[in-house]
Amino acid sequence: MSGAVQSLQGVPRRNWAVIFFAFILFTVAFLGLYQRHASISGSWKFLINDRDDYQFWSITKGTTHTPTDDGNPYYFEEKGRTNTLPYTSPQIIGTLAKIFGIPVLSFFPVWHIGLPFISWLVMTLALCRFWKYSFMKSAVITLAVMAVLLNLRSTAQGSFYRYSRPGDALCFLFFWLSYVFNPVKSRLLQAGTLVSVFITTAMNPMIALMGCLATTQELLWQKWVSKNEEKARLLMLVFAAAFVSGLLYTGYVALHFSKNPWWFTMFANEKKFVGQMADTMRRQYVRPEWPSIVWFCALCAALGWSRFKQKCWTAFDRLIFLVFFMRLFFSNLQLLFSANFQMAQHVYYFIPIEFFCLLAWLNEKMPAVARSPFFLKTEKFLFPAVGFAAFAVLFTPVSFFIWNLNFLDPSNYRVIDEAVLYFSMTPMIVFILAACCRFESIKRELLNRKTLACFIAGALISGYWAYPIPNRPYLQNFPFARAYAWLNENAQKDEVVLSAPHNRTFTDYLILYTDLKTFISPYGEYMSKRKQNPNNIFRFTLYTNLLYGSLDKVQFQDLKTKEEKLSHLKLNYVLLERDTPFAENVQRELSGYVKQVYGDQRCLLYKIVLPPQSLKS
Amino acid sequence: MIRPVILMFILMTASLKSYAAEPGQGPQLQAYFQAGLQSLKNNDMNGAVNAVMKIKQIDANDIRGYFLAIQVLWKMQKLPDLIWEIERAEKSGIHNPDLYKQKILALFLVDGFMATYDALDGLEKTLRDEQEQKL
Repeated sequence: MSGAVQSLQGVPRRNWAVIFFAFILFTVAFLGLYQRHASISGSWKFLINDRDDYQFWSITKGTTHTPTDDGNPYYFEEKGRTNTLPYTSPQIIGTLAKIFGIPVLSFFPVWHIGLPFISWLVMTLALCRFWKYSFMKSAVITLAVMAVLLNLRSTAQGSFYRYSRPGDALCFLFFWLSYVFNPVKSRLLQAGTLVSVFITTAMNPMIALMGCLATTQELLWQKWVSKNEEKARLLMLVFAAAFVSGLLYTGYVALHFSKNPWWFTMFANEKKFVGQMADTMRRQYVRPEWPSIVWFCALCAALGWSRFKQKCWTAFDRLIFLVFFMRLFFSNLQLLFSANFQMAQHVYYFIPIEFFCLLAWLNEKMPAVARSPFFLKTEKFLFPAVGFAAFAVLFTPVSFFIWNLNFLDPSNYRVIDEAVLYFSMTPMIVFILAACCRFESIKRELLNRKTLACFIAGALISGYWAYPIPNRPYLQNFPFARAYAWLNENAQKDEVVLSAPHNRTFTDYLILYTDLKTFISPYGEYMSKRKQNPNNIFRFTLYTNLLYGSLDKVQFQDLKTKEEKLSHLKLNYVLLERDTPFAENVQRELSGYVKQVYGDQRCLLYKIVLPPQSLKS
Repeated sequence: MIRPVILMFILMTASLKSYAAEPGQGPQLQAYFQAGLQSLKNNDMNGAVNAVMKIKQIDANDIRGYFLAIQVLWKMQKLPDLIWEIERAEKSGIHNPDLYKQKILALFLVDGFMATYDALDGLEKTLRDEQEQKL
């Protein structure tokens, strides 16, 4: 502890100024980005625009309830249900909100500013302490990479800005990997690494797998190849921490397995679904993901040649091999298990780490390449060729990798395959690095403070400006703010509200701004998907037939009358947007069973009033 | 060392070329979808598979888009012509609320409430148009 305090005291004032500047930068970026959301939703109170982000805050809210119902915070009937898989970040925020009695959405700006800021800070410190760059250099590199990622045409854009994953654990994995490839005997750094191991595993076991494999690989390397006993001993401690954290995670899941294993149900369904496919279709589905394979083969060839020339494996060689092996593995899981279990769709979690590795590895190799006789002899042709390749890739609709270049073909919003992203980006990176190695004047110009500052500022502005903002009907002009205020004053805790039309159930702020439950939610449906759960079908049937105005015609089990249908599951209020063509149907259907308790220019709120004998006890 | 680097670039370029799909796929999604449904109707499994794979290229990173497409195409064999009926009607400019309702139900059965939003949007728009015409 005293070591940590001393370290803090030893930090130069200039570094504190840089840290403060970064914090201000991310705050301004948050305001700039979310100002666009606020103008769509009509209020700074309604900023959630992503379904995963919505689920994150819903689970956070569920954690504040007593008993905790983070396993399905949407439905009254699922009250008290917890998750099998831990959602650590929302659980932590929810617990803090509960302890201090703060509304969960108060944490929204803190989270969306804090996540990129903490990520930047931890990665900067890791670069500085382990990879021996100066603090300023580390700060600039990290900021530049984060700014560039914002501009890429891939899911990398959201790495540090959306939802909890992967941003919440990425910087800790970065720290963990940095230590594993540069183990040092320092209590502070060892403690930091052990904490990172536990945090990464708790937050995101998928990316923790990379840390575990890296630790194992380096332990074996130091023990048997380098024969460096001291480093092996240091790594043994990290290995033990990784083992214990994995054991704790597995134990937690095993103990909670019966709670709400909806993820496992989804995985099992995928496997079952593949099994039911026609043969031709299965062959198409269970096929290799070629870009990741070709990229990995090209990397191995380059690594092999580098080993042949340099007669050794450097830390970056081993790191980049491992990092892209993980991509290969997750992208092709279907070849081993018939189903991919959504892993290929989540490999983008690794992009920031991959991007750092690729830059560092190319930066390490380029000086040797640029000094080689072959390069010197052919550079007159090579520079134009690589430059042309970079240019051609950039202006080809299928391979352009800068999101802003979408103007080339505005209809093309296809997210690029990340292995193709690396193919596309590499010529440009190589071109710049080779030019820097070969021409001192270019290097001086590019690494000039003003040039770097302009580059980072430009990348941040264009990145935040181009950050895709969904503008779907369910996000526009949210109409229920005043109705929520009325409900907070007058409704009982855990009463159930049905919001209509359907658009308002997608990002339903009801459960976030009140202590009430919702009648129907697509997320609630996911989280209650268990075998033989007829409630989901009932909710959907009642809801759509209410919108259609055909509640009388619908058949469900032995429910015959409208009273029976309206009281089958708990339902206390109906919140209806005025400006919807469904309004007339809903009002007609509910006539005689409801009493209007609130109304404004945007919405109407009805309380369900059923004859006492039809109400469930 | 420079030779393998050059070789790598050649490989990259070749790989990019082979991976390249048609530009401007966004609006083509619907067309592929239609083609897949039509193929299923004609019992042409190869055509359906091709359509699914083209949809996958467009939405490679969108698990929902991919699975929705693949599930719809696959389960269409069991769901009696509901979805293609409305797709065909929509294509020919007919917006019949009853067909939308059938489609919404079919999509719910295939993939849950989330899958029905677009169809519910379509129904809402149709009803709004009808109400405006009455006025």
